[in-house]
Amino acid sequence: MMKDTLTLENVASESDFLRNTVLEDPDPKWRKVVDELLAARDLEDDWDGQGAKAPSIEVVDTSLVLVQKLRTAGFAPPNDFGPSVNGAMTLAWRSDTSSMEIEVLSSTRIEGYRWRKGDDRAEQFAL
Amino acid sequence: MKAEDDPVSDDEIVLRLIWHQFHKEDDSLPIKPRAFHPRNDEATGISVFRLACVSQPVDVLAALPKIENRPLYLIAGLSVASLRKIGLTVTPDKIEAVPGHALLGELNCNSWDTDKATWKPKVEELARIASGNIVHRAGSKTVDG
Repeated sequence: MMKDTLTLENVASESDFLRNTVLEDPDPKWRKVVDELLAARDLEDDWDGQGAKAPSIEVVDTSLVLVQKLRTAGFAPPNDFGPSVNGAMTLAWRSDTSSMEIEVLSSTRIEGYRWRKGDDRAEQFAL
Repeated sequence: MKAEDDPVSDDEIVLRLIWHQFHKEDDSLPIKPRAFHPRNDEATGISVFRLACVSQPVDVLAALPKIENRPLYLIAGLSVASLRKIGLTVTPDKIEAVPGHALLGELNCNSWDTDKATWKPKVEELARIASGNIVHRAGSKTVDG
């Protein structure tokens, strides 16, 4: 499912790229993804009233860079996207037969998982 | 109603509080698996509430410390039998705010962090079960108004 190896080092150096491309995406579905990820920048700890950890700016920005790279690589917009309660950002694609999730945990730690319906375990893949 | 000390039986339903942003009505999977990710301090499992121990599902909103957050949660039911099928057990864990608090002990922050490959399909299944049994929607009127 992954078309390219993604390299996400030096996220800070991507900031111009981020401003000029991700933030002005003309596709409304991708724009919605970007808007929701951007909204996570404003979250503070305990954003759900039950102690959820807010994602760091670094994690949010890394997820934005990742989104743009996935879009450029020809991926469809994820079905589900946004913060998890443990400070990660999650992107998920689901169909009737299979699922794929990517969790951004830091600028250098991104985990991918995919599985088919009925599988006991997901397959982890590197990004 | 059951007493909190009564054993948990397979015919019971447990309730899970779902943050409103983890629910998208028009999606094929309305409740998102993120609603079942353990928080970083949930070392003993994620929280649920035994329906048999409260008079109505909305009673469990009292577990939320901030009253202003209560309209922002929906409540979904999961049968204990369905949880058992995916390897989860319901363990009573009394708290002061609401009777019937319990934990899904296997699904805790440590096991999540070390074995997500196992948990990802299971958590998706939890979301699927919960999506089919939403018993209270965010913003719905409660007894407290």
